[in-house]
Amino acid sequence: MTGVAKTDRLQPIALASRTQGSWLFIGLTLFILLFFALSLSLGRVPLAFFEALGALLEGEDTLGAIVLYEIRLPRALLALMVGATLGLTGAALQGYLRNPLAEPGIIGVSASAALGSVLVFYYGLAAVFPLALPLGGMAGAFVAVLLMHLLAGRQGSALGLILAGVAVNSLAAALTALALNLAPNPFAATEIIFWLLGSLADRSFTHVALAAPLMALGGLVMLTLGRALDALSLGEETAESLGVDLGALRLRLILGTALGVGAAVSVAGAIGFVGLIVPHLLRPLVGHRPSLLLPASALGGAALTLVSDIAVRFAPFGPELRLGVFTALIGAPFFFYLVIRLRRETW
Amino acid sequence: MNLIEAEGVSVRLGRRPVLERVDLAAPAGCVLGLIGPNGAGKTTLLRLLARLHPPDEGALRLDGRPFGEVPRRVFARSVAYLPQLAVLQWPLAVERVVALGRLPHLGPWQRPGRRDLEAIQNAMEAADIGAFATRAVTTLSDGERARAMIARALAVEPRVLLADEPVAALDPGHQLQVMALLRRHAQKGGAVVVVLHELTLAARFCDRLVMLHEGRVLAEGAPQEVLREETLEEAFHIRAHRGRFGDETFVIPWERVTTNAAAPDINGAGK
Repeated sequence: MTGVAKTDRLQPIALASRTQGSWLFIGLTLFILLFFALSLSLGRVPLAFFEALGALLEGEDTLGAIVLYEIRLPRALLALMVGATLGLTGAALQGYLRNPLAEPGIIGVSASAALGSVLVFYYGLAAVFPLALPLGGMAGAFVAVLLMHLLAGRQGSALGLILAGVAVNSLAAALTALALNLAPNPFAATEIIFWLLGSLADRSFTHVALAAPLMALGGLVMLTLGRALDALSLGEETAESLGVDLGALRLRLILGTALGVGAAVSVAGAIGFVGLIVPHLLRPLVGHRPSLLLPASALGGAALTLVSDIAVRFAPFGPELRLGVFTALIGAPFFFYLVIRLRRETW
Repeated sequence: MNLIEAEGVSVRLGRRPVLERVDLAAPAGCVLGLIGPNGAGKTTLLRLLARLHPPDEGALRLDGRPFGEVPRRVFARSVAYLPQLAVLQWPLAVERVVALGRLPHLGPWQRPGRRDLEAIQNAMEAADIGAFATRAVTTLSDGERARAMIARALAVEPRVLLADEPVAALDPGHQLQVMALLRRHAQKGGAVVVVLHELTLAARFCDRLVMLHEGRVLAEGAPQEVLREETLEEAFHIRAHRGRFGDETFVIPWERVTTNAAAPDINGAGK
């Protein structure tokens, strides 16, 4: 043994440090606060923001206060929660499947949740029983995660996963198209399109109240997975030998995904690629640790969705761009880039 | 007292028997070598001992307690398993990978404490990986990676260490180093069960050997008793030069035997 390698007692500095990555979390939080405020103050209707805020706080029913409270606040809150849910789910799925291409949209969870919501809406259940909408979304998401699991298997290769995703996505798309085809009137068809395109426009506090507890619950479930996902980066056998209960992990992941994505999609429609882009960009910044990536991706997802939802208000043409359309427009090229990079690594 | 033992364990894959009524026992202080040709069932046996797979028949005990009675976390703290092929999904820093060995010791939200950092440092020193502690584990050479994985298993500070061909990717210097590590683990009161293909290392560093052949124990006992002419020929279809150097036995596989015909005596160096 040479003396070079053994200079003095090892100091795993990064391990002992409690502050690793905290600047990232602070930065993301500040970013979110900034864009949350911007989301409240920017829109098609010009608004004297501080005036409206003052009126709102004093309980005056000025037009500005109403716009702020009834329209912009639910919208910003939903962007925050839906984005956090999608980012978190993407990070959890990627950690569990050990596959950087996993994402609720790509593996068909969002489409199935949308189908669940569409069916509930189609049969008029939503009007009778408000919780039916998120329940339908959750049922759809649950079936999709389960199907994907059965099709791709636990050691799912990238290929197996994508194929399973294509299968689940096509089935959900076919059934949604059927519902669209059989839609009793043009109004129903328009409503169904809402879930397909994904949007946060015209949402109210009813939607927030409906989805928020479920998303929070799903998020909490997923945030507990960090340790197990860290262990899983050494493979299933080693993780198991380190005391990870793989069965329980799988169950919690499926439950968390179904709760979170199901609730998110039922109020905002299918918003793709947030769960793909965000964990991917943040992973190197947290030292590739799945456990740290979970909260980081929740914040990152919220940030990206807030920004995107502001951007769609300023499309220089025609009607407002749908949020899901916008994220797909930036997300799909990103997916291209990932596939090309994976190809280079594999071949 | 046997730290870990298997009694009459059998495993079948479909109809094919992989292990048939195998017994194995490793007391504290023992390095037990598991040898045998490819497909003899060594890895399956090790996975049984790691509680990754249940046997179809037979009993497994940790410290005298049936496996089923040992809680998951206690088992994870007591038995470390080093699989043959290291899976590394993300480019984690080497010290982060080693630190994963402390997971069974931590509560769900507990951060690693002094004791954990100490264990991590000791493991990294023992495996001689301090020089690349902060490098991404995916950038390591095969040998460096193997040592990082060994450090990960040592960081558990287990009583029983199960290692599946831990020296397969290593150069001779690091092979000896790893075998010495396993010896030291046993000296400190632990037990080691290690799968080896390198017969001289098995003879020199193991207290006992179990030779598996087609799912059965072909020979069991002290290295000289197990590494006999007949057993080597039956299990590996080889003839080997065997000899002693001081107190130590060495075995050099020499030629493959394809028939059962009597072969010329090539053991000039032996006994």
